[in-house]
Amino acid sequence: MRRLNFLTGIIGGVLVAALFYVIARETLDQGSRTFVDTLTTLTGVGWVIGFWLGIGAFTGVGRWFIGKDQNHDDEMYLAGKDLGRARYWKYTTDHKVVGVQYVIVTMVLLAAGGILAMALRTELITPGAHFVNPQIYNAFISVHGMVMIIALIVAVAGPWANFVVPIMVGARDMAFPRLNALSLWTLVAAIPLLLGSLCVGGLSMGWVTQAPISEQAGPGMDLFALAIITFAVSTTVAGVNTICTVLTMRTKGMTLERLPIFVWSSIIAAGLGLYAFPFFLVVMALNIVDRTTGTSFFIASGGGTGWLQENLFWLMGHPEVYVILLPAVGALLEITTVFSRKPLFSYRTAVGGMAALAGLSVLVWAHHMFTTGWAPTLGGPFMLTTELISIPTGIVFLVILGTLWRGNIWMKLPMYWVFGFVFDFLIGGVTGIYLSDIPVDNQMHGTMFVVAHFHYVFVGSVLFGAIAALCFWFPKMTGRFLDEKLGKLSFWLTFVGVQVTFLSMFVSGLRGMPRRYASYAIIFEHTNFISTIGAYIIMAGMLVLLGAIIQSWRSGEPSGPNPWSSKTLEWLVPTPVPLENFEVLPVITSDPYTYGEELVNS
Amino acid sequence: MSVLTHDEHTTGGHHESPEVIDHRQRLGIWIFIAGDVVTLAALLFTYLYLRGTNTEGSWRSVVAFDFTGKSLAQAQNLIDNGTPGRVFEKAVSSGLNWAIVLAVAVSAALFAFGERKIREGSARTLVPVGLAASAVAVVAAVLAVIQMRSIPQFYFVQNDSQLFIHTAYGSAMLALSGALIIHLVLLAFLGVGIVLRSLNGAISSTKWTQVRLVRFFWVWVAISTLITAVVTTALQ
Repeated sequence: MRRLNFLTGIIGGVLVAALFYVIARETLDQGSRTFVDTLTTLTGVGWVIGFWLGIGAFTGVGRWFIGKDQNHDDEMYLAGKDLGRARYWKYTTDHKVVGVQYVIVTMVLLAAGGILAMALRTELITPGAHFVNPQIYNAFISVHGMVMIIALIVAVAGPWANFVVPIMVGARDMAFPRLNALSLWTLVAAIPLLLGSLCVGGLSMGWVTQAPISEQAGPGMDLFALAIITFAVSTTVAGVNTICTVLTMRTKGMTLERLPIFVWSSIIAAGLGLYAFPFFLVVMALNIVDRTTGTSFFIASGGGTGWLQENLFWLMGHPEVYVILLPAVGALLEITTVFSRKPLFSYRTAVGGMAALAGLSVLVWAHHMFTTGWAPTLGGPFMLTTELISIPTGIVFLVILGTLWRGNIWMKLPMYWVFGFVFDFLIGGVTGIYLSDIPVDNQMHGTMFVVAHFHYVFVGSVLFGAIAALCFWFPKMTGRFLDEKLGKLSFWLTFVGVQVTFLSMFVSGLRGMPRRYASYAIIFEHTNFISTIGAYIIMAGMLVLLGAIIQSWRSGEPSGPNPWSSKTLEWLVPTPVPLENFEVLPVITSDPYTYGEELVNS
Repeated sequence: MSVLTHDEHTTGGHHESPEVIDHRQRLGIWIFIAGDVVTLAALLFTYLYLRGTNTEGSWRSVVAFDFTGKSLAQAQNLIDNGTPGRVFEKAVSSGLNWAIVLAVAVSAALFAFGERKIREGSARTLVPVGLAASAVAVVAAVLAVIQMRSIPQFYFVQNDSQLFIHTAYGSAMLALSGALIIHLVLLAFLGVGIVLRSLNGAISSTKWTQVRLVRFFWVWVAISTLITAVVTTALQ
């Protein structure tokens, strides 16, 4: 157990993958139509099992099985006690280490997805560019989409639900520390599968893996689907852990009404993920068995139907938007109240709004299928539920504005990203209401207008929220401020880049440009050129941010334990946070947002 | 947020009581089961959706070569000289379906009995009963494998491409059986684990909460098997 680390994980993964490959090649019928897909799938499964073995994920399970549980020393070792930096490369159970590991993994995912995005935008800079060929373009589109979706699902919930939520509720660790490490390293195991799908032909149908094209795709589809299944396992494990931590490990006096708003957003998102991701797992598993065992779930000639794939996918797909969005919104609400020096505006409304968002999000999936011909009579009800969801969305938005209203706003770096979010989310949200309308959707579906809409939500809103959270909690994680100058430069570049890229993309879409095309008509040339320039500006902003993170982590200005004079528990413990967070557990006697009460009382 | 750090509540040291840990683990297993409920719902949705849409009348039939009862040479001859016709697929044996339900129910009942005994202070009973429950779960898994293998494949020709396929019904039954086998293997692992822990003293008449957690999952698998059997026998 003590010698296992990331490197042994990779070695284990490669060895078991090779073993599975050889066994499968020797035992399967090589003339079979499904041979290559089965071989690819089994090799991928071997990688995941081998990685788990090599990193030490099965050690605790094995010892449980034989009845020889780990002793206190083993647990302290697993928690990373006295291991220094080596603990970041191991199956470490300390929630703060897992939080830091999630930051790094998120940055790797964003970098991979960003590089693919730049390749796509470079291809689209002129109608006749041949930076990549159309087949590679399609593969890049698909993997870019899924890499970024995964990156954004974990961007806030991964680092911060792990690093700060246990401290915020007054706990010494997560409810199930080993499962916490398992969720992180399972995500890590999924990344090579996802990116590796590009090396075996990629896939051409977009991240939604539209059937029946997904049935006809090359072996890249097998690795892609296996990556999603692995990721779904990781997310489910993480969700169970977050919910149990908050519901069972709150310190004395930390009633549900005193929970910091970020904690609420984290458990609502985790609960929604528990509903959504089993559908993700099932749709990808059915895809794999269709391709490897001759079943006909999505093949019309065998009695299956592509609509089944679409239904299963979007039963996951729309709740997943809120699994992504809610933690970011929670972090932004947290930041807004701290930097406005005001109590959170209408705390209960904020919690109710987020819960209503989660509840309604499971009733809107078919709006993604308005143009497919599936159940036209249900179009009206689904249009109604989709439009209804704008109400809780608006409520949460108003809570941010209400908190800002007449606040004593302290314009530090995190607040720049909050204001960026407010601006972008308004555009992303309002254009979403247009698209929920069936007549408009019939015109806009499959165009760049839709792409611009969800990029305003995902990049302009969620990514901004994730960066705001990073700027806010960076001092607690590292003991240093994130460089303000570089951070602000990064903000302005990214903010301007987002407007340049996606406003012109709206114009492309309104003029009828379809999405997922490597080339286009000459009438779309100017708007695409502008979008590509905007994308390069975003890239510059992200590179500046990366530089700021590296520079600040190494030699930034020391911050002390509570640089923002915040009142939630994570700021009341020392920095760096001790191994078990609290020497003595705190007892909570008031709500977390009592900013300004001193002035009122005086 | 106002905070006290010297309340009597805070002076208990870093170790939590077994009751607190048990409460947490119970909630954890219930949430895992909730996730599994959604997975089963997705699979049953698949079954019912395919049955409801009955695309091209192919829920339980397919235009293909029927090799039932034919030798390899006869099958090859059929491919070379015959023309495919509409082949209807028999539903999976109801008897086998209910035999699996019975086996899983018996294994769950055995394990629940073992749990009750250890709660009453009789730790010895858990070992044979736990082993028996695991063995019956393995028997149920074998029956599920037999069920899977009874689902026919058809030789199918379309647009000059030739492949073996399952009908939509066969596909859905395969998925449900496959999911059940995974659950049963997990149950057998957990059951044997509980037995080994009991033998090593990690589980005793005073430390039995993990047995209850496993029982929760075991009973859920029995319920899910029953639901699946009801749906797949009533709606074929």
